[in-house]
Amino acid sequence: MAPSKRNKRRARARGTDGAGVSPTTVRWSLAFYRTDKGLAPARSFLLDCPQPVREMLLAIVVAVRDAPPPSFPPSRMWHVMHGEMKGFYEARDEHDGQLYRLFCVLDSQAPEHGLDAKALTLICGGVKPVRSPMDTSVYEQALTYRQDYLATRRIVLGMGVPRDQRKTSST
Amino acid sequence: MMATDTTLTGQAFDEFLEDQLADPSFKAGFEKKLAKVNSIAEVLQVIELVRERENIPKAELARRMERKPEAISRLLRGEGANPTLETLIDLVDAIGLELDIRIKRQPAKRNGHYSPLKVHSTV
Repeated sequence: MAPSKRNKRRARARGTDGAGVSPTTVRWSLAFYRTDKGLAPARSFLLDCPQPVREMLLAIVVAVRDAPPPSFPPSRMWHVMHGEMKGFYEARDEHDGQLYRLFCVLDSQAPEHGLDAKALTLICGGVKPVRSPMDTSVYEQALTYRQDYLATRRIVLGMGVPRDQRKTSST
Repeated sequence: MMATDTTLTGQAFDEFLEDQLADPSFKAGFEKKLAKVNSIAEVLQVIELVRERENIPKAELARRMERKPEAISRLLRGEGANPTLETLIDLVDAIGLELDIRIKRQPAKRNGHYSPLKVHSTV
């Protein structure tokens, strides 16, 4: 069946050819938001997570980066947030009765604000027990960080050298 | 192989991930989960693509599945509980698709991108 003009337009937006699913051609980058004090809350959060959770949250954001919305569908693991957290996406995992949430911003405007690619920016994270609300201070902190990120586009910059040299230079 | 980033914006993340992947146990777990995430996303992507292509409104989908429209909206947004296999069967049936599930033994040798769920979409 030939796709209609409307569906061809949608397919182009999704990075597909309208006749089946294919990887998107739009390239996004993953970035860590950096505070004015030089901290990277999302990176610290990930390092504090149990390894299976860190594996899952990183797998989710890498998969989203490689097929960003609208290609990557929302699901239990990649959730579009609502209410006061509208504008955030969260990567989700559950481990040992705890729910782990990594709060992210899809920043398609990043190239217009000094970054060299559209950015899936990891802002910060939160943990809560299953079937309980997230502490409001976690959301408030995430909102503050996002406001600062959108005002500054401040991210962690890489060292730009191979891993073995990074280790040498850091010791 | 997972694509790596070539932008300055993505450099710090790539270096962070590279450091994590240097641990073989992390690498094995990460690659298994990445394959699973991609497989689940592909299933959801195909379903939504076909629903849009066939111009099936969510309300009509709800009628065909004998469910409440709100439940279908939540289902397609990935909210709420994990859909059961029965719900997935009802969903693909309602949009004119079929699931072809073959259960077989895993290969003895599995590479890092192995996933126990394989999606072969012909739509």
